Amino acid sequence: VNRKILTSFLIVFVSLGLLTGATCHKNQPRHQTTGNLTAVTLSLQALQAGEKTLYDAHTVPQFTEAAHKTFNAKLFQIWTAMDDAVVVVQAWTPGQPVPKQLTVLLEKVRVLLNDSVAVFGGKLPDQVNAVWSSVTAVLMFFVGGLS
Amino acid sequence: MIAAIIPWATVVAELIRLGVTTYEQVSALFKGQHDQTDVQTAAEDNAQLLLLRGLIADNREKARIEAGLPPDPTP
Repeated sequence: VNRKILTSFLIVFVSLGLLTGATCHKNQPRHQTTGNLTAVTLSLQALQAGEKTLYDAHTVPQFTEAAHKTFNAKLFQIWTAMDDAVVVVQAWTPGQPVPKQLTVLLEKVRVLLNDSVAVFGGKLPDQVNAVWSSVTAVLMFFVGGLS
Repeated sequence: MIAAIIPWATVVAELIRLGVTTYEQVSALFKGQHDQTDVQTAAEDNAQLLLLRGLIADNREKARIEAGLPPDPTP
């Protein structure tokens, strides 16, 4: 995978990790989640713009028309899941526990991001997925596990 | 503690480098919020969430067009 694109993927993954961790924040989980959802959205936007720039330039062999379409189809699904996550936070009454549904949606985004990296024949470093698994495990402990 | 700071620093540095955010925006995110509760920041957060939905909708539409998907029947 092109280094620039992989870096963008890593930024989104780290942001997602932070987002998951932020929901464990005791005093301001909703506020922290809002701030980090913003970071993930801006990171995804940068990733989307970066991929389009590279595709339009026609200088990187992996960025074929088929890969470009498949990647954007995945992004479409990611944006849908992100919108669902924002709706969940909007409905989250301040002071109430972290909604379980939020964890499910963030995990969905992570899986879709992994799939989108694979479109370009790449794989994220195992450490990134390990960090993600750890923060998800902590969050699941806080919200009482996934149903 | 260091392990918790490194990812943050990486993300912030990259976002600033990419021009997605500025140092001022990042510092505003951390300033003066620690003594407040979710109830106190609810109005500000709700406004931000509304903005995010608009941003997500725009990018989602761009992705749909690039992917060659048919128009969304449920916008």
